[in-house]
Amino acid sequence: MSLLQIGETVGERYVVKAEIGRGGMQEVYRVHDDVLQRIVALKVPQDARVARKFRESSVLAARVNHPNVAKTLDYFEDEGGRFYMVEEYVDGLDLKRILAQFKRCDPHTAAHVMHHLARGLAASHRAGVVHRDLKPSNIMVAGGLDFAGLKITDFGIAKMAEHEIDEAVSGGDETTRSSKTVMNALAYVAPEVVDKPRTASKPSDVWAIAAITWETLTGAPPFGAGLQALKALFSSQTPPSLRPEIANHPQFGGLSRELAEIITSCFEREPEGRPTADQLSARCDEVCYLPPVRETGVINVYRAGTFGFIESDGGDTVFFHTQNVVGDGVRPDPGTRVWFTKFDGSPRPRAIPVVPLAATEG
Amino acid sequence: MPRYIPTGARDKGGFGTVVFYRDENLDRRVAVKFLNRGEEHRRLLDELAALQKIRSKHVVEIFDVMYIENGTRMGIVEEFVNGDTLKTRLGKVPPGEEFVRLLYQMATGVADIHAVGIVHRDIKPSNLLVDHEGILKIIDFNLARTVDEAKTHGFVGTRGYAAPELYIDGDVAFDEKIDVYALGVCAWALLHGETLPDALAARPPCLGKWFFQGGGFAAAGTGLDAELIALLDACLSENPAQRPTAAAISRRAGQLLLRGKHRAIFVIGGKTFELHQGNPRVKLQHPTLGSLTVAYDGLDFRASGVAGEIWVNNMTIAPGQPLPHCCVIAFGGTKLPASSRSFITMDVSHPEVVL
Repeated sequence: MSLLQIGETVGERYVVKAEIGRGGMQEVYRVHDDVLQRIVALKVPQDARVARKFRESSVLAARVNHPNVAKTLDYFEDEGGRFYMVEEYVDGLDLKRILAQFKRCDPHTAAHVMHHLARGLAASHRAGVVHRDLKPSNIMVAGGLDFAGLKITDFGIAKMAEHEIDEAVSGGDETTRSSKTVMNALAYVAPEVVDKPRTASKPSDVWAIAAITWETLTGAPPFGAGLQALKALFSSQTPPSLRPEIANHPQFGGLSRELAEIITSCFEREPEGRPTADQLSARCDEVCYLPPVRETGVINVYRAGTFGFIESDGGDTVFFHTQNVVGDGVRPDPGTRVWFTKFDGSPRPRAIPVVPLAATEG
Repeated sequence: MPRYIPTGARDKGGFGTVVFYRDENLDRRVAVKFLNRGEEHRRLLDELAALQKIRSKHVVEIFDVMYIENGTRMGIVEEFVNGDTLKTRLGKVPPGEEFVRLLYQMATGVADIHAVGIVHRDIKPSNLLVDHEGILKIIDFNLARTVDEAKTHGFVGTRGYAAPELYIDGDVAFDEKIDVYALGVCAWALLHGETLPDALAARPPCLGKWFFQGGGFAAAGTGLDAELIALLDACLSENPAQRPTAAAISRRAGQLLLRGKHRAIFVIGGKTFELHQGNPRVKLQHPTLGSLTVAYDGLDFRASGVAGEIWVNNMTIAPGQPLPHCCVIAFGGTKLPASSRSFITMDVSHPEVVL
């Protein structure tokens, strides 16, 4: 059951258009703001018990003002005792759904993701705001695969989830629902957060960004997902290492290794040993990559085994070489959908990198 | 209980007054722009709605509207930008990277506004704020008009920043190029201060003569890119059609922010090497088929010497021509079997300007 009905007006201003998301803690709606005549996102907590923390987290998020952080526009409570937060509407997909479209992404995109997240995080930390629950589903990508902008959202959700985390740690009555919230986050949490959830601090956010970048680069979170991650966090003394086919790729390997080195510096077990968000962002300023200006298409045919042609969705035929396909040396079958950047060439433009998309687009 | 509580601070702008409030709901400061009495609320709300089409990190965010004086006076509740206006920087910005970075943000913001058919009409240093994250924001859209209805009666704007075509008695028609003119004056004032040369300060400004005699933006001294100088000079053309688009200035400034920061990775037979500022030139030589010299000029990687049959992404290349940023360089003609030709890939990348 949704908390709000389509067509309903809340706060004498916002008309509900569609439900667009539901997490463990809140429901998210696309609404029309009748006063300023625009579409915005409206968030409503599911559980009255977290209402006070919902306001706290809205106030925290409202302190941050940066293009890489979703803007908090409004907060209000209605006579029925319900709480609402209004945020800028990002027309796109969350990073979790973006990553689900690839087996793994390319290092250029991973560098872009890390750079923008580090900037947004640096602005948040400067405003004294710790996110505490950074994970791909809390990052909105405007334009979806067009990567028109990355925005961190859901600040302070972790604060709301504290009760559930305590439940999960102590194995109380509500373990089923709590475990879902907690499990999803485990792949991105720093060791100190697992030890004491309430000690999450700025360096824990830096760890999370590094873990998200690692997943973008390699296709899997650095320490595995769920309980697997927990086990790895406490047993492994060494940071994860890149698979040889990523590290040794002639064209993409250099950038992948550079990113891995930056990421690894964020996986220091001691929080004080990690770079700050500002330092991370300054480091990203030095990294050379190609921001993803991409299009999609379908591999049509191969010639001579080593090169082939893509029919782009825009109607072009685009040349590509198999060594520019991001993958594990496996040649994608004709008919595979791909995501690529196009460069001048004759008689056809040339695509690089070529990133295969998963069979079903989400 | 009222949601917005005055903090006591205020600013007087050219059009209406800005009063600072605390938003009790979100526990943050907001800036409320009160319009002059007698303005029609409905029309202003329509104008606000038009502004919502702008997608830009360089335009101030609007949160709400509020009414005072028994509902007779409307205020626009805007984001409080914690920072200083460019008025504090006039004459203090040397023609280096910081100037280009500010210009890049100003031009990008103006281009974003023009992209949805809106003319700001009051671009000037006191309407350009730089926040604590270094992000420039354009404020004060009270004079903004859509291009379709860009007509006014008599002079409106700020002297010194207003384009020559605005100084006409009676009905004045104008287009988005008045913002580009103002952008040019802002750039000038950042470099030289707001004491404008007589020709710029005259009403209407008469620029041609001053520019030819005074050297225009080239007089700012060394360090400014020639193409950027030409664009900025053209901003101050008397003829609006000769002024560039804001997007063109943004593009050039964006390129300049990356000057000297590109990297080209060559792969030859599985081995890689790089060209960059510190190692800007290489001669790629095949024992029998020819050679290609590639040189980095700070923005592009160009063919500086071509001998024999060289194909780049299957296109011929002439000396001086830039190579595509990702390409395959082939030695030997296309009639040779692939096994007799030799291939090198070159991929150029650069840092991303993330504000």
